[in-house]
Amino acid sequence: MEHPLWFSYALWVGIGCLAVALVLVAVRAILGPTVADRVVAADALSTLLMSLIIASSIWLDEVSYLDYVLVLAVLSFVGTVAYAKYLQRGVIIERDVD
Amino acid sequence: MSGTWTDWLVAALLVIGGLFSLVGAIGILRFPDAFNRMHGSGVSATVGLPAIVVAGTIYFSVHHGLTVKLLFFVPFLLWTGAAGTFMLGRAAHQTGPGLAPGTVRDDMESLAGTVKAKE
Repeated sequence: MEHPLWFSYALWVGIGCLAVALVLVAVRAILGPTVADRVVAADALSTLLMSLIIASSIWLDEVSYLDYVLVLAVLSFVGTVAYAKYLQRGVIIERDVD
Repeated sequence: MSGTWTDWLVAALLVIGGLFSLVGAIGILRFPDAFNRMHGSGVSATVGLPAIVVAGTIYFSVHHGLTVKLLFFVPFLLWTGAAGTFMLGRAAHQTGPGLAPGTVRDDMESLAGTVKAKE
């Protein structure tokens, strides 16, 4: 389906902002002096990627991409929690519960 | 094209979400330490992404007869964002505070650096 021209402009402003934001956060993920900086940047990368997937699915007028957003949300949360736990305890799944 | 005022709403929400995500990303790049950067991450996760989710919900509801599936995603996102940031902040503070030089107050100072970081 063809979008009207003004709607395409709004889409390109949104997608362009998200693309620039992805680049900036990727720079922080590469530079980041500590591990926590990199984990924060990776979390923000997945958030921006979810936004970009939804905006792209509006642009392409395609419903089926929306399921990937939910999967990415769950995986990003589990990844952040696992990394925080690894930083703090050295293991992710503890066998002896105290 | 049906429902043209909803398309204006979708366009406005897309631009708002994109701009807030960009502001959060600039914050992540420019803030001085990891705890300030979590604030920048929270901007794009609590304003930018829900705006775009609502835009997608309105667009696909009007044009495809879908769906509130995406709306269930917003409370999940707010919850997991807060929980993940809390756990990561505690872990980062306890493995060595790494605070910016201009920090004036640290209420958890007695716990800072009590855990050795695993590299």
